Amino acid sequence: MRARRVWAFAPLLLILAVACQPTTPSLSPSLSPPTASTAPSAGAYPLTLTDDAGRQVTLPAEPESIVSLAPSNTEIVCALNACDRLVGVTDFDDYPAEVADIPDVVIFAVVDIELVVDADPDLILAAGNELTPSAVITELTDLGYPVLVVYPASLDEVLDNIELIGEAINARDQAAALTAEMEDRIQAVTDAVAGAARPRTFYEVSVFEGTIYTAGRDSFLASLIDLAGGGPITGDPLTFSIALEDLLAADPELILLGDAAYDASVTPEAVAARQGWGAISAVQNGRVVVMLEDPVITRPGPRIVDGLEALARAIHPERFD
Amino acid sequence: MSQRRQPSPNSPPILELKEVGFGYRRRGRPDREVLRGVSLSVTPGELVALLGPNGSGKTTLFRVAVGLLAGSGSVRLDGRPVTDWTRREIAQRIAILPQLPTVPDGFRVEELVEMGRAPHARSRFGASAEDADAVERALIDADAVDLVGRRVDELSGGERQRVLVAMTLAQEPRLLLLDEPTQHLDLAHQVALLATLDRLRRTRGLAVVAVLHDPALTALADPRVVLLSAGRVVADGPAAEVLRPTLLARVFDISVPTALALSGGSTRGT
Amino acid sequence: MRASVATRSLVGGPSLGRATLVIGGALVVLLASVVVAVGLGSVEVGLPEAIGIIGQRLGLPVPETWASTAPTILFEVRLPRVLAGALVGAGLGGAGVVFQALLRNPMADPYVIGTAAGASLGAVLAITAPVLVPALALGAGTAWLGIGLAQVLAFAGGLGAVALVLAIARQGGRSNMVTLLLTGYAVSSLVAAVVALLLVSSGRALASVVGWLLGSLGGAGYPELAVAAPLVLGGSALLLFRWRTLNLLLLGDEAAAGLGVDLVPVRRGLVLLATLVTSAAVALAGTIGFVGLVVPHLVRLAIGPDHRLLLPVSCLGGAALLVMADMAARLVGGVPVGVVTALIGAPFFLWLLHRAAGARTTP
Repeated sequence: MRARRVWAFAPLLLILAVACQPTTPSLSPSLSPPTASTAPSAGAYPLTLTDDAGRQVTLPAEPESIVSLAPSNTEIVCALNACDRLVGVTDFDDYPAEVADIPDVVIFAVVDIELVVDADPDLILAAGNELTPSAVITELTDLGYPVLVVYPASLDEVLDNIELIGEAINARDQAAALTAEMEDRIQAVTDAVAGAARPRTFYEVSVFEGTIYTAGRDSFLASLIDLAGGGPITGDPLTFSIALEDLLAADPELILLGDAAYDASVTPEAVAARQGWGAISAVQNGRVVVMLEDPVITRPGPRIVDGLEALARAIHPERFD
Repeated sequence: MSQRRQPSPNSPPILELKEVGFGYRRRGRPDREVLRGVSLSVTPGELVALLGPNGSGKTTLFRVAVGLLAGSGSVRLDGRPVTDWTRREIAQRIAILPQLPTVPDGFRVEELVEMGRAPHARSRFGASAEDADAVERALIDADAVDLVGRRVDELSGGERQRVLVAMTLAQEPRLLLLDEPTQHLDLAHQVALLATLDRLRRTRGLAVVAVLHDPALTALADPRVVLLSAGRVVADGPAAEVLRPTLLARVFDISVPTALALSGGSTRGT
Repeated sequence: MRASVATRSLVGGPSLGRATLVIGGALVVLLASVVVAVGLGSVEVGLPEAIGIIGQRLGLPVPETWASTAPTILFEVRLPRVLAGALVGAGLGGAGVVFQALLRNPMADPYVIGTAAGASLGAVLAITAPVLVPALALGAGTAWLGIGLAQVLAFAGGLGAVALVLAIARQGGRSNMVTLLLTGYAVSSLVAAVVALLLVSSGRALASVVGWLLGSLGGAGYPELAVAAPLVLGGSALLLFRWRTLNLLLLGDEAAAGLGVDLVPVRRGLVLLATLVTSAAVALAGTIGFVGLVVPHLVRLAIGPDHRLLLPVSCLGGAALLVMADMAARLVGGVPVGVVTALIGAPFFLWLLHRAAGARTTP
């Protein structure tokens, strides 16, 4: 295997790693209990938590300094009013605005271990599912840092994660308030789309070298579309790709252009001009929609409900007037 | 170079081939018989010239003799089957100069010649005083002293051939198998090489089997001549007996007058 | 007898003085690279502080003028990575020399008979198996003697692929080096196809797999080093003892055999040793390209083809090159080190080739 050849895949991989996040199936809208084995009394440190990788993580005291290795974790910490405790974030972080001043310890999706050690955090919030490579998690753990792996496989688990991080940083009440508000908004969305016809919805993650990437079968993104009242047209659960002929056979009634958020050349007109796409119902009926909200749709943080609402509005505009 | 020293009759042969046959195989079946019933023994102090047309089996004979190819019949080195010796033990006794040697880039003359000492190497990293002496003698004997310090890949064909001969001499074998040692050499160096080989056989009892193509030059060294044709020994004896124009004409498929001219017939008998 | 004076000093390989000079020089270059690489990183640790930290480690009473994290960064983060770079570079440089001599082919590198493909398959299996078969997730998380499953399987895969290549090459008639080379190519292609298949179906772990395939020194800690070091250093030392055979192999099979080399077992031994060294290096850092191909050439251009010096200096040179390349990779910010070795090595190599060609044509 020659390095050169593999390197050509790198941009694609970045897109896949950041945007797709396939998950294990867990679509039930009901809330499952938090994954954290919570200590009974508030503020009881040392505190032992079970993270999303099934690891036991013990925090000797309330973390004063936190490194976040994923934008979603950063957003959760800030939403729990603990933004000032962050001592290291990623160069992808763009929300809330104040995180711009926090030093980056993840650059181009690579964790710079030296910078993490230099920040000397009491707690590291990693991403699961190899978004933070397991080798890095092992290395940081070996260096003696408590590393909490956070990886939501569904919308419910985003809420669980908020409560898990709330536990870890002694912000249970804020976490409970936040998740309660999010649950209300989720409920409002599901109520709004209840009973509506479910249009066959195709969410375009990217089209790269002729390969069409979309929500994988049973993926987080597919579950969001489902909750938003659409019938997701999904691709292969492992490669997140769908063959054009399968897409034509599925005949989407609605196309959502997530990649338009990053690439201005992706427009409904451009989609209509693609070879073969003119036959799709959504194209013929002018139901091709630019989704500038893609960052919040694909980022499993507190703003995921913004993403859900954006999806619901795009799928059922008639219910949100 | 006369003063022929006959090997003493009771001197045991260093190399003894009996009824040796060999055929290259293709898909496990014999393809072409290259050697057929070859019997040949070489005793210390003998200079043997091996003559024969292209494809008559000379190079194959060398390979079988040093155990690189296994044929039928018996090949004995110092009285024991050649297969009983290790490669290193064989290399301590027989040096072989390949017809088309590979000369790697970058080595200097003295480095290449020193490689001839490999079968005798005892120290892990250096060369012994014995090795140094042998290399020095070999360089002198092969008239390659003036080439010391130069890169082998930058030498002319003839210069390179002298260095390769020096390498085989540095091996200090008891038997030298030289496949066309005079190739690329100018006349003076061809004559000088044969003179050196003659001197080494006389002074050190070295046995030499050399593939030669020039009957006149061969006759000059007055060796024992073995004539090989289509894998068989068709003549084996003193040069004067074997290098007869009629025999050469038959074996090499040339006219008798041509053979006579090539074998230096006009100058012979003087 | 004049000849005696002229030649004696030239016989016996490189003079002790030259050997000392060349190996000593390479050693100095390597040590300098290590010092510079440990001194530089994304977090600045000044030279006085670094000296103080080392002094304190040695038990000297040094006042602590540095940040409390500085010793960790130096000894736990940078040093193992720099040492891993040196170890992997040494192994690849040495194994490259051996494969080029064995195959008498300047295009040969340590990966040529299947090591890289086999090791890739092992590592990719280790990384993707938990994705494809969830039941295996537990196995991947555990460590074996402190070594990750990827390392263990990469090592096994490298050896396994080479064993397969050797077995097939021997079946196909007498085991000559061209057969070996072609078999290596075919088996590598086959294994690479399986790797690609796994890659495509491994969604979640793609980034990890690709990082591994490009070669990275990030994952190497002291436990991994403790396993790889004896294999690489011991294997290289055993190879060095075979310098004479390696020189003879350059003369061609027939001449080498005539000089006492028992080709079949000797070659098998060399292939196994070089494969062992390569597999240990690959298991530690993935398939870093270029070092094993080019370092032997550079060193050969500089000091000549005699393996007595070529082999040790290629080890030292490969080590220095990879240490510097990884430092550049770290400073640039997470570029895979394999990309850096190619980026800095290839133009330098071309320049040297050009210069050498020019020198040869100029009378």
